[in-house]
Amino acid sequence: MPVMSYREALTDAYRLAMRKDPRICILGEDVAGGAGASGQRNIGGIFGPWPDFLPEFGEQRMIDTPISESAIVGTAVGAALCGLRPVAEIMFSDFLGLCLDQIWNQAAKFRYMFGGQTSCPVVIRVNTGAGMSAGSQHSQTGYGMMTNIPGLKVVVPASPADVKGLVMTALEDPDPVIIFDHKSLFTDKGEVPEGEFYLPFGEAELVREGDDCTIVAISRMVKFSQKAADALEKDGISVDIVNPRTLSPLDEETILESVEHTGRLVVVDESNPRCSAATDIAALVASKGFSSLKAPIQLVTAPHTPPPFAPNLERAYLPGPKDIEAAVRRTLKS
Amino acid sequence: MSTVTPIIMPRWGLEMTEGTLSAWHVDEGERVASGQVIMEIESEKIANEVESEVAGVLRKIVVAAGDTVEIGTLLGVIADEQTSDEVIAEFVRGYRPVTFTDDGESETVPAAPTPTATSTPVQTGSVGDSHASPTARRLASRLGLDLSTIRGSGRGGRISAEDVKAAAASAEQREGEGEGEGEEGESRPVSAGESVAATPTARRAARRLGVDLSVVRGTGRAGRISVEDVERAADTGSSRPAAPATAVAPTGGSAGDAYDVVKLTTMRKTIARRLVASKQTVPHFYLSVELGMDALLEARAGLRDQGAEVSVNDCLLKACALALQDVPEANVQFHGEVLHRFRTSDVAFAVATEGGLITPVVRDAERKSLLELAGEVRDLAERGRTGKLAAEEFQGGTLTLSNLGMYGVDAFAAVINPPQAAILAVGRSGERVIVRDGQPAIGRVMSATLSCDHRAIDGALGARWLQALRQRVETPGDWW
Amino acid sequence: MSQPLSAEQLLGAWRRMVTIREFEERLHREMPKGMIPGFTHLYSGQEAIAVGVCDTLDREDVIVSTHRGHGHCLAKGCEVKPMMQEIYGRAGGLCGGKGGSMHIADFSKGMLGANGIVGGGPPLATGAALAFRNLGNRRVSVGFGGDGSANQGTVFEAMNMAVVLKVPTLFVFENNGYSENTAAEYAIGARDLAERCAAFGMPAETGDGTDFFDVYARTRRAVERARNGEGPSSLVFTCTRFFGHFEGDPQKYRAADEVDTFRQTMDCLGKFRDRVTAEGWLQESALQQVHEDVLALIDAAVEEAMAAPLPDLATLTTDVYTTY
Repeated sequence: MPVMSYREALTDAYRLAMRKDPRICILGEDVAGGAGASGQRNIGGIFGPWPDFLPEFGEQRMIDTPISESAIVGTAVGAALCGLRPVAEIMFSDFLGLCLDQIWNQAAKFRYMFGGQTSCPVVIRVNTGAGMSAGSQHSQTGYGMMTNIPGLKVVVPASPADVKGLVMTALEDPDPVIIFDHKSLFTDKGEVPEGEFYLPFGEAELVREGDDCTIVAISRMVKFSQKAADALEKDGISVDIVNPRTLSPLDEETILESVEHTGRLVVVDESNPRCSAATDIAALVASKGFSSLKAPIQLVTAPHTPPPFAPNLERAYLPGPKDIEAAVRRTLKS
Repeated sequence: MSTVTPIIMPRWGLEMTEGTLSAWHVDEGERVASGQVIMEIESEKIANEVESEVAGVLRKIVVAAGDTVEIGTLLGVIADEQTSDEVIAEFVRGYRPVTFTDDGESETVPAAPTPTATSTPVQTGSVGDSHASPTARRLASRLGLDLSTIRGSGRGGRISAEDVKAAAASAEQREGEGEGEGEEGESRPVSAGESVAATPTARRAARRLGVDLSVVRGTGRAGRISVEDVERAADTGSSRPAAPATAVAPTGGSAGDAYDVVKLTTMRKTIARRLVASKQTVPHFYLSVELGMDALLEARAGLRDQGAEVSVNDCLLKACALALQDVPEANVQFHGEVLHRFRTSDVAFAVATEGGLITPVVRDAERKSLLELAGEVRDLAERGRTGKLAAEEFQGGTLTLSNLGMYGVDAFAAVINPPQAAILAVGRSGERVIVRDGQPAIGRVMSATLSCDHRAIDGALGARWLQALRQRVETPGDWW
Repeated sequence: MSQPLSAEQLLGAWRRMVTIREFEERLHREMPKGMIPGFTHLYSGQEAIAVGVCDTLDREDVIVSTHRGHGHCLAKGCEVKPMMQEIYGRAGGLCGGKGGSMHIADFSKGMLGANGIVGGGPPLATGAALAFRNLGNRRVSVGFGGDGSANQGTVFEAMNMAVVLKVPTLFVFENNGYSENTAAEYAIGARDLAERCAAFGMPAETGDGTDFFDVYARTRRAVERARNGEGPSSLVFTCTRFFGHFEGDPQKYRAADEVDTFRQTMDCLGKFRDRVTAEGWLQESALQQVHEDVLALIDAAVEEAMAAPLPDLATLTTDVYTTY
């Protein structure tokens, strides 16, 4: 299997899908870049996911827009109602605040409030997460908020293979899908199947198998959990690591079954803790898997603060492998 | 249709809960025209005149002017002259006010699907004309399903892989209780993303319990198999694909006195899981040889005479280590896309303990003297029996030596311990009639069977390694 | 002036305008009886705009509506009875009773939905037009808004985006003088709404929203432009609403005689009737006959809606997603 970076896998997925389905177009600020400017046309997108897309797919399908999030998403959503399969790119998930209405009240509601008359096959791709000293307005996640919206599917890839398989699935899904690509995963490498490759929504990955504790980790935290698990293994502690892959739909079954196997749960999410994906998963296990639990559930999250700027503060803000390791040990002590 | 028309306290706006009837503009018994003002109503926000919607006689005033009542309350009744007083009275008595207010009592929702991933059924759309996603097509062809018979739930009735799975699951249901339908008699290796939809935890349970997922009926979303499904299949024995339904039909006997239930220890579970995985995913093949043992046994007797505690097994282990150096292509572990070819000979050996089998590894075995090696083997085996080995002491290695000679076993074949690529199973050394220099003679011979992972070691390579081993075993003088 | 539309077309326009008027007047009478759940915003007084605009469109063209959407629905061809059932929250409603007055949609008629969010619709109209541009099918979209939505940032974004992408869409602003309780004169900082629309880089003009013929003529030019690939336009139509912002609105913010005066001076139905009969394009008797047919239809629609079954409780959880 070829080894690719997360960015290459992402590019590969969109390229394959766009070659197959002419209805797919990508809208956003600088998705090609350089429109109307004096220098180079086609910069290839911010974080570089779209190299050579403009020459291959043309301006009709690689649509440079003004900085206008509400219209970027709204236009994509309207086009999705009328026969296209648009991808709206929002450069940072923090900017979802600017276009929330089009996601929350429009795209996610149409099918239900119009009595099933329509579906809305729009994909919203956002870059997310902390770890780059990007400060409070460019480092948040936001997938917890999005998971709270019925009618919307929420995708959180954790690896190059994940992003390829989940993007290809998203681009054939009939419902609105938002994909959170973690900025700090873009250069990570991993094996990725060649050609068309689909990972189903609502089916978690059991990244690692063990007996003593279940770690449910989201996005980049899967990688950190692996490191924690390596350290724990030296002391003979083995863990299940569950990567949900999608938060909506959530593979409740796999999480509950894993906790049934291990009897312990640590949930790892770099988001703020209140009303988050982490608390949601903890609540799931507390309400439906309480009898499996041998110890209190541990949450490893950011503190309830905005993401800070200074690198040392940001490192303290983000959960790390040591925090995860300590949380697992806490569950084993009680 | 009744000719009796109620006059009610109107609701003007969502916040209005009650209103005051400030004045009647008509008296009881008076005729009113449609559109004629009949009363005045005041709410907190607004005072307004109210017109009659119909023509008739104001037969009854129910609420007097000046009273404040809830919205929806019957204020009066308009009807024609012919309607009898009894009918009017009956209407007033029987009048049920319109309920405006939400008292928070929710409707009783029937056991309906809830919008979560695990329990909501796939929505069906219009019947598609075999319009399907490529994954659905692939899946349908793998499962032998006709796409034109499957309802698509996607946009425009497009058939998704989920639809195909659902169709497969419901088809299986329709087949009734007959298990082992259709396909193979042999269990298939199960890997993630394969045609059988199961939670990863269910796959683990299946490996541990030796259950073939392809014959387990899933009860999860779109027929996905859960741990519970696997356990149920294991309990009922319905996972054995070859068994016809009649053969497993229960005869009603209770399990109670037939056997004791012995709960698996963690170690036993691990063994079960690893060995099932090995047998299911590693393509084993077997090579058997008979090794002449006379020279080796003589040499060992010599050591013993000098007071050294060296077992036949120690000698064989050393011979294996040297053979791995002689044929380095066989000194490998298998890791998916790559082989790890080792420089040193790390040889594992099987130790039977109360809890089960354990296989400690002797590192750099080719460089250790027999005495050194024997000491280390004793120590590892002892600590293995008492559960005191560290994890790294039984991980790694490329080959395991498994010896059942002391139990009088002549020959057997063993299961590879991945990622190792081979395991050597040896029986007892026995006296046989052999041909030596063209003459029949009595010699001591041991049978050895090498199990190889065909992904890492081909037949010829395995055979070369066995040749090297024979050379080492039969001429111990060279390395003693 | 020569007859701008055939007699049949004119009678059709009359039928649609009268249908909207009587539909709304009836709802106004039914609301206090408590059988209609939720919020309802009536369109009476603005009929010439919905009908004048939609009569220039083809069935395949689409509109995106507002919270005051009954008029747009009826003008684009939604049927009276399923609309009424939707407003009563019945299973037979256009959206199965899950939408209600503010979320009526009928995709088969190109009606992409009333919208409970002021300013929510215009970005969708831009998107629909992008789809038409990319698919090359010469269809157009219309995003309706009021003077209230004219102040929403989403609408500005949608207008700019439409100009940048040069897509076939129309932004139609119905200035009925009030955003809820606040006068447009107060809330719109610019002197002239059309001037502000023009500043986005598209043709924009103001017309008389009580004059069907004026609405029709201006919209037709804009639709033509859009179909020819010349990009978006904006149209501002002045009008008034005969009822409150929502049903139950005491309208204390309006002078006591304002509505009565406007019913005399700004009634688009009266103006239409006077014009077509004076010009001899239609006979009074024909108009009257249509009016009576409409009243009978609406009577039947209300009666049927009240007797219609409620949505099955199992539908509470259906159609959240297409696939689960």
